[in-house]
Amino acid sequence: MRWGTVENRISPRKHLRMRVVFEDEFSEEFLYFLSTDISVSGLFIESPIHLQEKTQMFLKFALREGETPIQVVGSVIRFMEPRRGRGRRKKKARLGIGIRFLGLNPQDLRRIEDYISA
Amino acid sequence: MKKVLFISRSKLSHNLLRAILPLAPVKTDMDCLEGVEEVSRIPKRGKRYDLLLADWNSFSSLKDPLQGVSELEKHPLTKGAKKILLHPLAWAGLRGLSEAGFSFRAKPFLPEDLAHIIGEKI
Repeated sequence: MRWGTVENRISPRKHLRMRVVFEDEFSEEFLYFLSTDISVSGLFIESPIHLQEKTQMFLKFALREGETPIQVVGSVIRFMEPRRGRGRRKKKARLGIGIRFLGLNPQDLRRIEDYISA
Repeated sequence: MKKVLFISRSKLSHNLLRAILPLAPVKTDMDCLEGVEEVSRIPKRGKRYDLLLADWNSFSSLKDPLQGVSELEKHPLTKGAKKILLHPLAWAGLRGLSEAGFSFRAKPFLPEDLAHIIGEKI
């Protein structure tokens, strides 16, 4: 998935700088990453580690500090560098992972929609 | 090449840690077990482990966690290893682990931080 222009995206995205926790299969927090942006279909996280496409993980993140976190299964779409507009990549652009949400419940979907449209 | 043994009931954590290891400042080779009770099945010959990284879940299901510590101390490949226990933020602790030489780190980690912790110990 390319995080390109609004016209080419499947769903609009919004900047989101929050901790995204990877939980294990026992719902314990293990790793966390920092997100850069979110849409109703997924989010992008800064990551120095490479995860294979289609790797699934348990995610936990909040849209705002202090809010009840959203918990959802995610699937790696692509490991890439985030583009910041057209042209060359910035020299210090960080590596990252695009993650698609799987089975987001309607309430949490609505919360993300409201966040993006706010 | 340094050797790390990671013990956790979470196979997902095994996979995530494998992805993190290349970030460590030292080249490392890692083996994984699901529980401390499996230590006795490790062959007695071979290169010793430099670091033992254990999740608290590998001890918490044992009737006697200190028995798990004893298994680590008995095995020739693990007994001299430095030891780190990974635990949740809200954790009451397990008696005997400090005395057994464990240092403690609270989850969750940034991948770079975990790689740094591993590099520091080995």
